[in-house]
Amino acid sequence: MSGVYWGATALHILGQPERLDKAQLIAWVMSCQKPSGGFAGSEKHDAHLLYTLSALQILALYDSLDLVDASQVAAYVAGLQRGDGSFAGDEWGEIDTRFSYCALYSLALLRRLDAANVPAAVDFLRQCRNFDGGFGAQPGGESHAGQVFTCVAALSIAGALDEVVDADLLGWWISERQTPSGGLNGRPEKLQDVCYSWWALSALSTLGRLAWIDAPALTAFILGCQDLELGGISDRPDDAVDVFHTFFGLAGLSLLGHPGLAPIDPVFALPVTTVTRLNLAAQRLSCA
Amino acid sequence: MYTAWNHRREALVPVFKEGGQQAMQAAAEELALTLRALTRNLKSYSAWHHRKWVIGHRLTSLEAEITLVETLLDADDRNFHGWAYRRFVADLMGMPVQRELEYTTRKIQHNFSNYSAWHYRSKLLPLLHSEPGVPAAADDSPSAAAERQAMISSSRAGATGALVLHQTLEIEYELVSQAFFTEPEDQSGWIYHRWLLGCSVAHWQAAPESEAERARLADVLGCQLALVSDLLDLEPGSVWARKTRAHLLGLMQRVGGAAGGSAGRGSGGEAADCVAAAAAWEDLEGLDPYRAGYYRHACSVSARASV
Repeated sequence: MSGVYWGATALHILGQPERLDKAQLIAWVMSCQKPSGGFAGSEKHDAHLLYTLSALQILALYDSLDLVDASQVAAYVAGLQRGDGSFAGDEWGEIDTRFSYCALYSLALLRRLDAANVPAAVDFLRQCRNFDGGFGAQPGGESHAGQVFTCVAALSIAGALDEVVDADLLGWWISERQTPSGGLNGRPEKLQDVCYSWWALSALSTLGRLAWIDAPALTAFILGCQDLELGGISDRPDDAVDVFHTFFGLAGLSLLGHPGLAPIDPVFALPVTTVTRLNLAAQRLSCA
Repeated sequence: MYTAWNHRREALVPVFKEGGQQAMQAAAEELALTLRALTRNLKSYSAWHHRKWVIGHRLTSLEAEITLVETLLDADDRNFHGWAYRRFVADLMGMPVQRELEYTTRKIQHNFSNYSAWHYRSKLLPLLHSEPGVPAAADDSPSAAAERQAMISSSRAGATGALVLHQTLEIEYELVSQAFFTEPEDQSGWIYHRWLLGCSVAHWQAAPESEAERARLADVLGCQLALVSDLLDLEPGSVWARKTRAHLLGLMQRVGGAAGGSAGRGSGGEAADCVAAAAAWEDLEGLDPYRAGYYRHACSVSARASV
């Protein structure tokens, strides 16, 4: 399901959505919905918050959210919230700040944010904040650019960025993710990877600090990860391409205003046109 | 894959509920299976979660889990799943903070670049003075012990607000200086050092009227600036030493500004700090151009603070 979301959104950023058959795509997405209201990663799999968000994102992209029973899906999502404000990925209780993002974002798409305890969700995200201004997967977990994206975006949807995030500290930590290659890594002293061109960069954008990294150097790094014969983008130059890195590479380029690409929203990870059509609200910070 | 693990858990629920030898045997088999999965992919979220789910039933040895995760972290010392698992097991065991701290010390001394271990220290240090210096006495009531453990768990988990003791900070400054003198361009120690400076500042912020705290902070900042200057004498090209120097000068500007006339420092001193901080940030724009936008921001913050 997430693979379909990455591919479909990439095509929208490229301005070629017609390359996928909308009716077929939507029918497949709906075939993955379970009686609980949640969506599975694929047919014959179990429902999970990760794929519920991906499914709703695809439906949003194709203006088909009216196909779901919003109250039913919202009840499934809100039912996964724990007393401490966290969200489990499914009934088996794995806790991760990725699921906080999936839950708040899904509820925002369904216009049912009131179904969850948003202040408790914010408190939990605050518990996941670290000494470097970043966020981890659970309380105590090390900062990671992927979790920084989910936590910053979740707080943005909750309207609580300004009360939880130290934007100067976190913005500095993210700026230090840019390595001499021009690419971004996800944690200190780790290798750069194209996927962080979205995760780290989107958070910087939401914090109003996109200028704190070198855009031309990052652009050159992402473009250098293209396979010029097969198409697609890989994690690092000369590696095999895949749809995951292709989407994150394009999304990063789009945030940087690369010519020929449709603009993407840093919080909702959908084209700005879609976010505007749906009138989705999120808090953004500026650099005072 | 996650659906396959779900099916296993569905089958295991009644077995675990039944308890006894059969449950213990089944738990041991699941641990062996997840270990095989993790050996193939140490980053498998679903395999780690399955192991936590099994361990949470308390049918097997927790101490064995600590030994296992130490072996895994020896092989891959930045694996955040492994570190998260260690914290999970340590919480279940009620592991003393001191023992966890000693583990991070060992990992750091083995490899100063272990940011995961520095991170864990930042979670443990605020707990140090909330733990008794001696093992809980025999007459310690279970509820009091549980309460203390809950507090330690939540703090270990990331609650902020507790001040790190001055004497603890001194030890940490010493440890981290070993790291950056050994590997001046490794980010790990420097980011931790910046947090330590924030901890020192927090003491003053907690008592802004206290001249003693202000003077103590000024002393800490002066010592750290001298240390970084020593490093710059040895390694004039160290960009990280320069960043830290600029940050220190900015902090000194704030502390010096607050001293006003009472500490006998004239406004000339403040102005000099301000100029020095701004110049240090400006230098960095040229030395580390990728982050020029950040340095311009830091420079303007310094300039505004001086007005």
